Amino acid sequence: MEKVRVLLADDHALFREGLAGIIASQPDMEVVGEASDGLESLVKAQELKPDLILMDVQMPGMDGLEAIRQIKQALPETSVVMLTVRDDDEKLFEALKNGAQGYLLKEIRSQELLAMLRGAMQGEAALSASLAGRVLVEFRRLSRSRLKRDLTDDEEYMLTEREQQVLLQVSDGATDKEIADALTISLNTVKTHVRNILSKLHVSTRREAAKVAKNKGLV
Amino acid sequence: MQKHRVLLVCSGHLFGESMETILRAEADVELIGPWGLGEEVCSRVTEASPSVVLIVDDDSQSEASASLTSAIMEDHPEIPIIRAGLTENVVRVVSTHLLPARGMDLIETIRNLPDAGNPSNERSDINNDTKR
Repeated sequence: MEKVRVLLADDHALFREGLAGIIASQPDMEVVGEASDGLESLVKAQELKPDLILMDVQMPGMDGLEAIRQIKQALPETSVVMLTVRDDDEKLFEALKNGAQGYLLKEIRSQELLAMLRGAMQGEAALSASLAGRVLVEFRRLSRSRLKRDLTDDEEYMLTEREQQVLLQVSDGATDKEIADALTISLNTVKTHVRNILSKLHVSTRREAAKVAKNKGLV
Repeated sequence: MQKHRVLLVCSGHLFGESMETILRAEADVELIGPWGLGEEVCSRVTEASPSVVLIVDDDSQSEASASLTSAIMEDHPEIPIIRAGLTENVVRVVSTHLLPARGMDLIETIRNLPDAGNPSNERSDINNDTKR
């Protein structure tokens, strides 16, 4: 059985040594190298060409986020899973954007870690349920931002900011009353906005307006 | 071969499991535990009779670690305590030594204490340098 070749990158030597022992005890894994900072991890990755890198985020010199970016450029087939104490949305999203296959917290237990790593080797995302939820929230936020930018830039539509807000609510299936409550405006004002939106989007119904919003990447 | 009886107290997270792996690999270490940080450690220490207590928490300076250290020092001053965590790249060794209450012994001890600014401790049996 071919073992998964693992490179460990973490500046905490004691943690790294213990983790190496846990991984080495697995029949399907072997530790092929260790690194104590991002630059060393990049050098060793290019030298050893591991299947999987377990990378800490915070390391001296080059941190894990920059290291993974460079490693994925040089070795796109290598899977990199971040393993960190830092429960930080910004670092989570940046790691994933830089190509991380997963982002795990060090409070995880070894059995779950090993299961996640095996899943990562099969193409699964090594993310806890809570972190996966936050990724979904961020994805929706980015989608809404893109819609707003598209609708603002597109001369054909020329929706006002308030009309964009109303359209987003319509896309979520909100009634006029729910939109009025959410945006703290009157029901009549909502109806006016909806009429204007339908006109500008050249559609006849709320459903069609929502479809346009979806095609622009909102939902 | 005389074994070092090491009581491992940890949070149950990956770092604690890593330390367990390291300790179990040593032939001259008899591992007691691991026990959880929240368990009634102090009341069970006498029965366990460890030669050292190793407290492992992700945050080595957590309130749980500090409280447990104080309690063990109070009840069992003869047992050295080692604290390890992920938030710093050192381990902390806490031990109590009893001296005769004489000036010469006191002064000699002061002179032989390691430099407080140097994390390497000649008197420590367990340090953060790994054996390879």
